[in-house]
Amino acid sequence: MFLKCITHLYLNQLILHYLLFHGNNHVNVSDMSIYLPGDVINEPSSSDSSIIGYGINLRGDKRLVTQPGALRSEEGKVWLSVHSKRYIPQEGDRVIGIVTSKTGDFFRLDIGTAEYAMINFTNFEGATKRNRPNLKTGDIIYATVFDSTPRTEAELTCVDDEKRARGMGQLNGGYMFKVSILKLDMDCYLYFVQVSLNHCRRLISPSCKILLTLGNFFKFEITVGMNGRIWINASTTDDIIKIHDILVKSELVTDEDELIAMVQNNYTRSV
Amino acid sequence: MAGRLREMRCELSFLKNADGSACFSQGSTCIWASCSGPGDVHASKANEEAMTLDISYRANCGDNKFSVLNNIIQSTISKAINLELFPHTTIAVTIHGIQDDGSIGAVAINGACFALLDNGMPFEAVFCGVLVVRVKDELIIDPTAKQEASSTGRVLFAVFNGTDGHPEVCSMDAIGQWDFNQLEAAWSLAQPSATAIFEFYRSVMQRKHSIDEH
Repeated sequence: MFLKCITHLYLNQLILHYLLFHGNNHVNVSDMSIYLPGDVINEPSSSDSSIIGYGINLRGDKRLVTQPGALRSEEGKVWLSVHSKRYIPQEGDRVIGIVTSKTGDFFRLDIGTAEYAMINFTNFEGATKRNRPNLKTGDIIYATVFDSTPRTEAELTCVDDEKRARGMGQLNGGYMFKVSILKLDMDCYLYFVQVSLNHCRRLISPSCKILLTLGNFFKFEITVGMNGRIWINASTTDDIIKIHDILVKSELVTDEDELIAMVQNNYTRSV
Repeated sequence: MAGRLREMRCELSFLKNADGSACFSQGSTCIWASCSGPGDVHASKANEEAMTLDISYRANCGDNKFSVLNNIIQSTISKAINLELFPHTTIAVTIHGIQDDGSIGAVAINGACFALLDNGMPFEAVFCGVLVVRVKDELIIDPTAKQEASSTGRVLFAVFNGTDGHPEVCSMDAIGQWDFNQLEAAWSLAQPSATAIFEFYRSVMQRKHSIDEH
């Protein structure tokens, strides 16, 4: 049912004349425009888009693409949607991290980047010098990246400008592991999966039907980090397994009927 | 002059555990390429100013400690990636030769670019490799192993896609006696092929991103 995404393409006997006419940086605009690193973006014209986002660099007055992706634009903003498995920290991203150690005033968090990220203990809601958050190695944190300068570790925070958590902070529960480990404890109500970053962005986009469809069948909590990690919590282990399976399999499902059928199948099957 | 590339095929995200990977073939020459990074680097290899590149080409037989192809791939990729963006990290690009039916160097460079594109990390410009050989004063592009064996000279171009859309030579590796006119002719023969490969990159990436349309 879920065919592996095969990007087999056959370019039969390339006829050079065709390419001489259609070649170079010309982008075939069918449904969306794909840009590759080194391309220059000319659409929409520079006057009506002033904010340059992910995957694009300004060189002089030219907008140069640095990451392969599809062009998106909205309300004067342009950015590229990039498919990637490796997370590179960006300021403002909400990520899920695992506490790995505690050094002085800082906690060290694994957020899937080359180096560990840091979070100061005062960057939690309600934390003061006396009242420190009680975090242990292995705890899961949902936080925002607020400093991602190269050469230094990324710095995270669990509060916004008004010192409010607004959903950030520790994701409570007793047990956590990754999808590659197939052992399942009966007491485990927490599940932690790693999928591609694009799938995470797709899940939380308002137009995506996956979570809405899931919500019609299951009662569950979900937290999606931009670093490709998903945390889910439901009342029974069976539900967690089913939701996890659906989330992983739904990556390549675009058809709504197929999606509903898949959720239904998983809902009725016994684990 | 034979100015045609063989049929190209590519499957992205081919290897499960790598950040970016591709199975790429031109005719019956086939490679697997993988690319992982920017990742954690061993302290002895860490560079405080730039990213550490770890490039290796591995054939399917023989001693693979060092390959002559490593040099041209390494110099091409170090020009393609702005290494100073990610100090104190590493990127590992590994290319496995699965079947060698000529122009393995060009195929390895193309596969490396596909792996980088699949990874999605920032780099400056896409690149490709084009091999031109000379058989009895005739230039052949993308030769088979048989044509390569009977050649009197070969030149491997590593080509960048310039911002104005025209292919530019980044590095080249020439074996045999070449005079300037012959090299010029080889390069003008390689240019349309490079453009064709860049178009192929675009169509493969288009297919990869088609999931977003929904």
